[in-house]
Amino acid sequence: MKLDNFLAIMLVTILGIVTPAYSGSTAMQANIANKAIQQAKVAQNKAALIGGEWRDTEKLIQASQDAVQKGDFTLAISLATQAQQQGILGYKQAVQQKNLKFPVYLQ
Amino acid sequence: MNKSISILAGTISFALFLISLIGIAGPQEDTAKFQQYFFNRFPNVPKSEFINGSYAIDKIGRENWEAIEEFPPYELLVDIGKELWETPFANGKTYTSCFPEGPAQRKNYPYWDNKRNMVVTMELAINDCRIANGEKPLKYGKGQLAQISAYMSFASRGQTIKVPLPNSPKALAAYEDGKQFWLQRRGQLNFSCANCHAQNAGRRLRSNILSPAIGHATSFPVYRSKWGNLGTLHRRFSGCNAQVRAKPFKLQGEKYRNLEYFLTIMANGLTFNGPSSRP
Repeated sequence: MKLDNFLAIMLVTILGIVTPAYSGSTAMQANIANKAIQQAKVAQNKAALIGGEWRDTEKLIQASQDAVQKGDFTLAISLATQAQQQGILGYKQAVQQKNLKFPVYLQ
Repeated sequence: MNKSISILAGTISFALFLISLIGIAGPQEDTAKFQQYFFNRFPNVPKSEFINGSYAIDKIGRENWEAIEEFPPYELLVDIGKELWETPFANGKTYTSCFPEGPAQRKNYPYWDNKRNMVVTMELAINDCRIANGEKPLKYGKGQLAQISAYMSFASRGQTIKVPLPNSPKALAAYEDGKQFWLQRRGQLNFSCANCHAQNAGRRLRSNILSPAIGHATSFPVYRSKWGNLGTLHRRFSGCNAQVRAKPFKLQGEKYRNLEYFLTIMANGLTFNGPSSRP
């Protein structure tokens, strides 16, 4: 076998193995990013229902969706996770701030 | 039978109202404590001065502000508001069809409307008037609505604030909702209105002196240098919420109307002095 033929076979073999694996990884990352966005939206809505939504949560979700469109799934997951955390914390904050009375300094 | 049930429900509702008055500090007691706090905190500031926000307590800022007020940046906008007030709607009527006493209406707002079961503010009443006359409502916050409001506020200068205290369970609930909003920490920075404008009133936040909450409802709409135009009280609420990184609420929505109701009751006894200028 000539060297050129050997290299050609090797190249095809490598591409045959790597390309589907890479595509699978991309699809998996996109899936994870979209799930993270969904979870962020759930947390956002939960906070909003009791008036606890934070200012930047929607912007983070929007930025995460834009990152998915651009194929930057690592960034998308990071932004969606931040948004989810904001939703969770905003909800907890609003739940804690109930039935308040004038603080001691106003008594 | 139905009449008996109605009477029973009414009695229970009234009883619960009385119980709630016993169980929680009432608006009158709140107002006394609220105002006394600021009088104690700033013992050299006369009560009547609190209508001027941070300029009641900041000597240097006061001098600058007085210089600005010699040629007030809102003056032309008040004139535009007057023109808008006098311009007939398509049906030939004007705002006087809704406000027969004329533009000096601040003293009548906000109030609890027993028929609508909601707090009605002057800005809401302006748009109600437009709708009643077949006109489109104006956007809350700035623009023409703020200009008409500025004209009406200018005509109302010196009127004493006498918001009637809640006289029904629903009115008391609206008052309590406004009070809760004022006390609740919100946003990523976890601040409440009270944190900045009561607990830390008079202290600096970066280069700004935090204004005492007692005069917050008296001087709007204001011309803010930051905005470069006039804005309503609810626009300022929205801005404050955004500054603590909370999602602002709808202008003239229930939350901000109830907040205005609470804050104006807390200013009972002071005078309206809008429009004004702020940094």
